[in-house]
Amino acid sequence: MRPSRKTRAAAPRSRRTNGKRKGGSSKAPLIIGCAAAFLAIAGLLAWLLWPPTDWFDGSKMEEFVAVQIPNEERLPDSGVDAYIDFSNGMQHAYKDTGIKDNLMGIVNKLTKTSEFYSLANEEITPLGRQDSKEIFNRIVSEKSYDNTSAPIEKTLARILKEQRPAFLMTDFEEFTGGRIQLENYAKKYFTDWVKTGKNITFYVMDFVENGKPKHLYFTVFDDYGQRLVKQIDDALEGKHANYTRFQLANNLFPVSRSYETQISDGDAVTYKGGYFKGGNYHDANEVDAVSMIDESGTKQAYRVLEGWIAEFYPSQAESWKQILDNAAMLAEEKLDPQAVKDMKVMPFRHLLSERYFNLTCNSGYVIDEIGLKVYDVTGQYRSQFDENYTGNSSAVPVYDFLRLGKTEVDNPGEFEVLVDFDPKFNGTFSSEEGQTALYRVDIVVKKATPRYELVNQLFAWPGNNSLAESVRNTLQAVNPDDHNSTEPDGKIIYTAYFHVNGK
Amino acid sequence: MQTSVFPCYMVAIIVFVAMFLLAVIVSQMISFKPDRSDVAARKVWFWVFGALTLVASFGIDFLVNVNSITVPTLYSKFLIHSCIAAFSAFALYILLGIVISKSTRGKLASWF
Repeated sequence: MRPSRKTRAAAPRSRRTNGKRKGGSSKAPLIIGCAAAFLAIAGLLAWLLWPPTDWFDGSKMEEFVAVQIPNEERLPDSGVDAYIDFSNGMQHAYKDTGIKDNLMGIVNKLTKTSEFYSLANEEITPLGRQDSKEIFNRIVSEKSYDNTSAPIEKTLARILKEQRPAFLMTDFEEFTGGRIQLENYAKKYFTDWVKTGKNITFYVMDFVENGKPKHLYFTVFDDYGQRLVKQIDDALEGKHANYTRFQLANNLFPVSRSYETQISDGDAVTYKGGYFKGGNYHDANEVDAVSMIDESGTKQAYRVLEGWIAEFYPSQAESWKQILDNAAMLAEEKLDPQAVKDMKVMPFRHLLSERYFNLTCNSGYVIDEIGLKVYDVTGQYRSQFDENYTGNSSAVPVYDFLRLGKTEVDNPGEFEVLVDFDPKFNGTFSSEEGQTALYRVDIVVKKATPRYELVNQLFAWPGNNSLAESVRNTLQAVNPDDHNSTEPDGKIIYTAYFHVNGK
Repeated sequence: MQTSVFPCYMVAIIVFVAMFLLAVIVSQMISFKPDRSDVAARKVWFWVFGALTLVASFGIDFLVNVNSITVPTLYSKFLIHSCIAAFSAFALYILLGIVISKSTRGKLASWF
């Protein structure tokens, strides 16, 4: 049995062995085979590791935004000019102990950093360096008020020319040639100040002059950072005199976010938890499984663009189609309701959420409508950073891509601002480049109504509508909505940049 | 977030190299037998490591690279690439087996 099996098995093998030996003397197949395998592997590695879109560098976003959104003009840190009206009508104001108390708080706060000026007899005169007590005593002493005609208009012109944070204490009664100026003389100055992104805050207090109800104004001219306004707020905190605060500005719409993971303290920025996340979708493991935003905390990753109300969302997706597919697969109706309830899976609801915006908190305007605008800013980016780039260099509006969602939250007037996919968007753009383009998503003011009723109440008094008229006209001139020629696209209140990596 | 499928192929390449070396070592360890049963044994071991290349490549890829992915499109992409990588490794294993087998005279010639 055994030998015969061996013989049978051996026969074909020896044939094969012989056959192989004939052609086996050459090493050529081995070399060719190995070379082919090596090339295949090398090719695969090259394909997999080839860098994605080479024109884009996420670490340059701050530089880019600085050109994109002109930063609201910043005032120097060099101190404050404080102008005090010493015309004779003012002494009635200081008979009110509440006003006196407020004033003391402010003088104490400002003496260290401020240059004080007296406004009287049509002159602006420096008071020189004095301590807060001397200045305060001089202001409240009746002897100081034998003057007439504080040069208010001249002061406003000076504040505008100096471009420094300023504090102006006055009743805004301008005498020109011995007569009360009834024209809206302040409008030009207010408008010019606010137009450049700065703001004017009025602290309005009531007093009685010879039986006539009048107003005293602590007026603060400040920039977007509002450092002086905060000082004045601090100084008035805990003082019991009634005042009403009114801000003349077209850009102070606080947008807050509930995903605060980044604490900014001046130039030093620290991050909680080592990395930070935006208002994009996150699954139960805190991973963005839909838009695939890079949240690694590197220079290329998601971040708040410090100094602007703007964020950068770099996606590691291949395409917007992929993001849309992810969104569809994680839609609530596709998921197990029990798992959703137990928070084991998070359904996809919005591309961006958890941004809150108060439509009624601005004292100058009620925001009736906000809108969303999307631009392809690839051309702008490339022309800024690539000197060889010769293509289109303007922002191209993009339609049928994203849309605005809005949900009311518990606070009256407050809304959660949402960015959603437009139902018409199917993941493709008019050209293939659209997939890896840099998109700017702006949330803008579409309609704003000035609060005229408040203006009359705070800025008019019997026989004088000049200031109310100035404020009213300023509110019209700098209206942030897109019906106004100075802001044809509507004032931007928030911006998100999106870029899809493409690989 | 890992979006490149490179690790899938890296695993496949490592598994391929390891299995191929094992196949070579094991084949070399099987000594010549007068009845030539060693040839069959080397053949069997060659195919065993071939099957292991396929299974281990896919298995490791699945556990290490695919299983933890929560992005739906990325999950299917990685799954597909793990399969492609495993089959490529298997194909490369057989191809190199044939080339080496046909171009040498020693023990490895018994593979084909």
